[in-house]
Amino acid sequence: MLTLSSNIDSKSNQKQQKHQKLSLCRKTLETHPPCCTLIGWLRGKLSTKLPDCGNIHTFNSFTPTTPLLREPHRRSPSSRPQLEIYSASGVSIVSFPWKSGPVVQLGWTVSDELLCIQEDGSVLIYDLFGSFKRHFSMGQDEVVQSQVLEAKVFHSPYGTGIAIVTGSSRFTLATNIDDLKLRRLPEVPGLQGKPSCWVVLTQDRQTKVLLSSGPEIYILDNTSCTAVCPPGLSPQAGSVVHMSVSFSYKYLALFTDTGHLWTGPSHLQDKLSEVDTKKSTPPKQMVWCRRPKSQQPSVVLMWDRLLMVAGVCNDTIQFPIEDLCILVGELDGVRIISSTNQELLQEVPLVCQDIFKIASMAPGALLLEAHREYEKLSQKADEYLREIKEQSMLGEAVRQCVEAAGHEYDTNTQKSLLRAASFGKCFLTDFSPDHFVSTCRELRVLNAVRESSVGLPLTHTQFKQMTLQVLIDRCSRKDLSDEAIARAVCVKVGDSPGVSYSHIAAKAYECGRTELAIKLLDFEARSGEQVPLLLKMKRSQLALSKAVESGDTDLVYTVVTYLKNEMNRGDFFMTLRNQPVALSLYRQFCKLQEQETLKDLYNQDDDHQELANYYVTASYREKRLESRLSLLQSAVDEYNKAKNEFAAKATEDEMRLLRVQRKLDDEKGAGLLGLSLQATMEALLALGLHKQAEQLYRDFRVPDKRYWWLKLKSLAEKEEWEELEKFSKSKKSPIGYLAFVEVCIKSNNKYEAKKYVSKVIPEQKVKAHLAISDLEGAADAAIERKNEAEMGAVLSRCSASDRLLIDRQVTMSSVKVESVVKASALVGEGPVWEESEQTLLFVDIIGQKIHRWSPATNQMESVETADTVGFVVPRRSGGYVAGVGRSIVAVDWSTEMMTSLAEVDVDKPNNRLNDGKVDSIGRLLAGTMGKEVDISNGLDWSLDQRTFFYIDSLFSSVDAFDYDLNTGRLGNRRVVYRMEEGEGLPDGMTVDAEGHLWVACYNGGRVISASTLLLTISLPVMKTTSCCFGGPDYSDLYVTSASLGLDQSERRQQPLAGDTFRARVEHPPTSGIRNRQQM
Amino acid sequence: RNMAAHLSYGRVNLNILREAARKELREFLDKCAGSKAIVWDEYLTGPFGLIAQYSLLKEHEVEKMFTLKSGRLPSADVKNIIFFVRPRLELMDIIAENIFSEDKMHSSRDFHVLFVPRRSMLCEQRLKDQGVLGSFINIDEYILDLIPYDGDLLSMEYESAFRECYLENDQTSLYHTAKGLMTLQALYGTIPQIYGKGDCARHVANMMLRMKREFAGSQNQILPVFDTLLLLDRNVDLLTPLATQLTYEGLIDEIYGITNGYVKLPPEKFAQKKQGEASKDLPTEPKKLQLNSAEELYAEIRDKNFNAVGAALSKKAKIISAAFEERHNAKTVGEIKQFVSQLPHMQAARSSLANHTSIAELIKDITTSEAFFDNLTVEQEFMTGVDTDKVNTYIEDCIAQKDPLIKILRLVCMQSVCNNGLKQKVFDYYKREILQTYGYEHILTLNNLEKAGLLKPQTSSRNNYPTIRKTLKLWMEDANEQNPNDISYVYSGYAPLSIRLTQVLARPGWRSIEEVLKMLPGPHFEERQQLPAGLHKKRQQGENRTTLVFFLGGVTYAEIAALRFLSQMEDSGMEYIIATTKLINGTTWIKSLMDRPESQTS
Repeated sequence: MLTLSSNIDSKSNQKQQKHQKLSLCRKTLETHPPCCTLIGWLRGKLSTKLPDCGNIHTFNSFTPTTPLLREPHRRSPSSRPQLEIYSASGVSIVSFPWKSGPVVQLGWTVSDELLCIQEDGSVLIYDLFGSFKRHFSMGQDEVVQSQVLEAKVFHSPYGTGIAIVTGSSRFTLATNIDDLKLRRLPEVPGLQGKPSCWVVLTQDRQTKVLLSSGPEIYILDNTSCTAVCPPGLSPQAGSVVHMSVSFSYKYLALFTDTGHLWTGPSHLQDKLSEVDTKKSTPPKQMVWCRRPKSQQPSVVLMWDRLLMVAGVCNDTIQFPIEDLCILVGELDGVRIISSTNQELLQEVPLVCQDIFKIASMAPGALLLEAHREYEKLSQKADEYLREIKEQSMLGEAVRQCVEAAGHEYDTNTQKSLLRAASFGKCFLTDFSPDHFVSTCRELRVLNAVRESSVGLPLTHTQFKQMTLQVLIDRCSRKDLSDEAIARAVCVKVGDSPGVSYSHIAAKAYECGRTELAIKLLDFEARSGEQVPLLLKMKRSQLALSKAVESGDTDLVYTVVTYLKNEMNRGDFFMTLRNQPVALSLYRQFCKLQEQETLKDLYNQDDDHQELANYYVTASYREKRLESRLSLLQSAVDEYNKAKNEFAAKATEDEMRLLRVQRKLDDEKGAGLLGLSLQATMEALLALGLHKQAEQLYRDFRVPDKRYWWLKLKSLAEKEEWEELEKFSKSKKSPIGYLAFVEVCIKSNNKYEAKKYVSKVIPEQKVKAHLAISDLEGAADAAIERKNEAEMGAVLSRCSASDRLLIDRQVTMSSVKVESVVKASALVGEGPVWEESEQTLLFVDIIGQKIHRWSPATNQMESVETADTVGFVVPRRSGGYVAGVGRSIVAVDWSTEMMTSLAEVDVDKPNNRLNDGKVDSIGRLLAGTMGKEVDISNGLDWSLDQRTFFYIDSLFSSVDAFDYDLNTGRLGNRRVVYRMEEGEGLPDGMTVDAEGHLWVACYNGGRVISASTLLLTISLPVMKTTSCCFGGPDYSDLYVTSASLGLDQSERRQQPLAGDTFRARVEHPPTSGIRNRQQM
Repeated sequence: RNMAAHLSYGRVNLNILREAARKELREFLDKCAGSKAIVWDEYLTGPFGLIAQYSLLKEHEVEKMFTLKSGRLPSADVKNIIFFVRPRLELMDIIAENIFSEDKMHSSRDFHVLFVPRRSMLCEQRLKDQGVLGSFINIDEYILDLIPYDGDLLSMEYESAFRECYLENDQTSLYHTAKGLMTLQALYGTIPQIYGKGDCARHVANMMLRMKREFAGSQNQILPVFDTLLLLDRNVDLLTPLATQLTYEGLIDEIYGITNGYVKLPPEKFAQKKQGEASKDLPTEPKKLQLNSAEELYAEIRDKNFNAVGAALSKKAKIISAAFEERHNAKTVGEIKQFVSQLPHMQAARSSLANHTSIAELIKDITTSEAFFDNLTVEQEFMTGVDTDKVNTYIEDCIAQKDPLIKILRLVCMQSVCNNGLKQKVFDYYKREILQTYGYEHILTLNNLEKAGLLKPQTSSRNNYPTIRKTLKLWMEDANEQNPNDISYVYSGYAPLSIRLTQVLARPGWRSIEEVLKMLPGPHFEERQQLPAGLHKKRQQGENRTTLVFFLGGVTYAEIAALRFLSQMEDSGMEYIIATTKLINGTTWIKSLMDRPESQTS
């Protein structure tokens, strides 16, 4: 029933197994690079030692893992034995001389500890790296005396156990060495020395020993020793010389001295098979080989040059072996470790058989084939695929490929299976990828740990049984310094996004590797992540400095609060002291939450200044004056300690003031407590308590000036004028006398104010006069001081009606006049500032030209007119409107086209249009030269648009009319200014932003401000014709002039006649908004 | 209708940042399904106003809004109560109180808390200690560090930043700054060059570099929008905020105070006289106006020296009336339609003009007053180094007249800064005068000013200020207010030190002023941030570089105006985006440094 393949070479084609119903396949677990790793290690000194009986070797063969091969403690008479531990790939982990007693047995515990059982029954435990951990004894006197003959290490659900048999043929068991309970088993009848063979069994929650003594087989448990007989064992089979129990204690194999192999369940109720091996010598080793869930248990026996597999059928498979080997039974196979390599003998997983069997029609096999064809770009792929699909087996096919991949060791096979699976998956709609993904991941892990540098050649089944967690444990149990591990992690992980070192560190901490965790945290860039873990690990100081480093104050606060609760106050303060940032934050916290602590903090730091401030603040919280004073006294002391004399003195003054206030409050009910010194004096003066106020003034050395101001105001407020006068004479006022004037005026007492004007120093005279609205006096004072600024101040206060008060000879030398347009016009006239273009428009009446000049570029453009031109104004719709001859014409500047809009004085053909202007709603008023008016000239409107100013030059007066803005009707003509001798004839005029009239004086060589006549601007030409304000902010006064009518000598004297001038006034009547001069 | 279109008109589209913030807000609101009421930490409403209007909240079922205060919550028939709070312990206590009094009345309301700008373990612990932590369904954070304030301006609206940094050694604001800059870099790309001056600047840069490491690998592959980041400590230039700003916007802020982009003005000038209606009842509520570049006219005039505003307004008036007159030219139906379609814009422009004419009038009343003039004269004397080592009589008089304390403090501090400290005698004299006149309690404030370096006794006889002034040309005699050719126009002569540093950095570089930099406090430094390959900018011919200037501890509107002026200069080759912890002026600044214990004595 059992067909066996003798396929030793793993690289042999899988398809050769096609006829096998069940095959056992021996594979070389290849590591990378293939074939060399294991060879490497065993070729060393170990290779020759292995056959030595004196050597005790052990493999870590508990549970499904076996990867670690450790080795041998060599007992040699000549030299000290050496204990050496190797990894499964033969890399030496540690080696040290054995200094203790003779060792009977070595073994591994479930948690990878090395057990060294000595002859005297003591057991020494070492860790993976050869460091001694602890020891215990398997028995007292009896054991020590009779010595341990043999020992076995076994594993059960209860842990790792040890069984010994002593020289007095007594067995002692310890089921779990971590919870040591020694059980001495009953005597075995007739046993002398050690039994010929024995095993430890775990059955029915009991650990028993099965032993063979002579022809008898006994089961030895806690209470009894029972002779048993394996069912169906032929009587002629002979006595048992070798026995082996399966990994799960489920099966038992017995080998007799006649070469018979009996197998059956370990409870000995049944029999699986009996095979005659035809071998007379007992095998060196006998190990169960079985895959979980398989129905085909088999036993592997090893002789010097032969490996034999025996199953439930009567046939066997035999493999020759060249080298000396050791067998290690494992969960799903037998590991064969030779001096040069390591092989795994295991049953070929069913799924692999299905796929790789020759001519297999299993869905997985078809899919693999389909994919192969697909890669070859062959249409056969489709055929295969269709075949699978027709049977609705695609899901199964994928599952098979994935599963098989898991069992494969060759990465190329793994890949092709997975590719096939992936390929098949594409044709499935709702196939869960989980299995595929997890298998890929697991294979990556497995392939990685199988590498010789790691040396954990696990099978997939073992890995699943072991779990990832345990594997990680295994892998990480390397004896590296924390520093090195941390660095290694960093090298591996680097700055990859999404990797959190704090998570890694948290794991390290969970595993009790605090130092490592701290080292790892160092790589964490986000301090926010570092701090909580550090706190958890109670590394609060470090947490604090990390928090501070992060700059995240909330984090600092968190640590500080934590520290506060964890530490005693002294230590806490000391800790803070070393972290100034944390300290300041804590201070802030205390300021808001714990005032008292704040004090302690300052105290500890000897920060007297802050302590003093603290007392000051605290004093304001006190309701009672006494407590307040006492706190202030503390403040004084601290200020003194801080060498802040000023503050100490000021605080003392405050205390003194408080006392005085309280006294006065008590005596006079003045309600002073808490007021400032100034307010106190003010209150006292208001109450008429002059003496007391004076007292304070002296006691607190208030500066004279301030006190004088205070008293002055107070007296004025109470209208104690006599008192005030007396006070003013008490001594020379430190604040001068202008203050007196102003304060009196503020109290509406002009009469009193006047008294002090004469005492005012000259520099302030003008101000004083102005304060009492004495413009004449002010003007006199200003003139006397020849101070333009002051004059300006006076002027700004003057209204038209004040003009007679002022000497009109005052001229302002600060006006700068310059010729800006060298037009040499015959009769320059009608200047208009065109705001939108920032240009000046004006006309040459007789020259019959309209000029446009830009101050910014100093460019002038001119347009000739057909007749005399009296005025020009910008038109709202663009272009200009001009008065040419008797026509009002529209001017298109660019084309120089002129279109007549209207004609005036049709009945007076000799008349011509002269000056014209536009009112605020766009109405044009223009005058003509004719009989009714002699020479109609300047015109403009008052600011409120209700008055229209008008000049008829020959009348030598400026007239005003009432003006109705709605109708444009004029009425109520009156003279507002009549020209004086020498001023020439009034010509053009303009009104400034403050409503003052400016009149150009023809033959007067000047522009006068007609409203106040305070200002005369002299020009270097006599025939000044008109003026207007312009410039970006209307601070320039433009003046046109005429050259017509000058004689030769006059022309020589006035070379600039006909030019247009700009006057820049020192105090420009700033414009405000002028939105007119536009039609 | 986009309320924030103006944010996207600048060199850098700051609307991206705003949209990111809005998105996050919406996501949080949607997390709390059902009707909601928001309980506001009042301080936050201003900054939030710059991100979202009520309409956005409403769209997400916010039905009620309350101000956080102790006691019981006002009743509201909503499913969710959401607390929007800064992470402050005292607020946690209030929330706890709210929740306790709530539980007795209602049962099935869900509570949420949203921390702005980030969660705090300390606060959560406090909530836990108070026994209410379990009451919250959601505890979340709303990261709002840098708020787009205008098309070229970001502010954290973090009022106490200067005080915390320089007085209390609390660098919380700097942490938020660094975080904010990281957010900015996530949206606008890594800023390749970082310059800085001052201790706080250094700290922020360090944190940024550290955080960059934290985010390593997760960086956005964005072509950098900013070429340079300049971090400036406010204490490098203590002088500028003390001076009275003379730009239009600066003066509005000085006189009326601009908070979170809004100003409240006395209503009288804004009374709308409707035709035929007597203006008998003047409005009593202050007129509230939003000031930003969304308003075309405002954008045009805000950075002008106030003396140039009148002309600008009048020019605008002409343009607007001309535009209205266009209706006469509209003849065909199409033309009329066209005109009508423009009407809303024109009417808005007209009302804008009316508003600003009124504001300008209000301001003019003040700037033409003698007091303003005198004050300015003294400031300018100090800045030009006239008699800074003596007791100033004007200050003395002001104290005697009991002028507002802050005005006094501004002047005294300015004198101290311009003189590298005051002579001990002068120093003590001022302090004594202040304590005697305004009260002893101000000893704490004076102490604070000393700590902040605004006020100090002269220790060394050397006064560096004149050297700094000369080297950096801080005083320009011929400042042109109308058509400025130098940043000094913003203070009518004084060129803000901070902006000079910025200007010099761009050209010819700081190496030329090493000496001066050494005289100013704190280190100066340069850092480079490696850009991912392929993100190196290929600059077009003549393309301007962009610098983000971050003022740690506040910036004034005048400084901003000066930077905008530099951006507009044709040959500067540099455009500036401005960021700050808070927009300040001398008054708000000094105020933030004051300590005022309330007296309990009876």
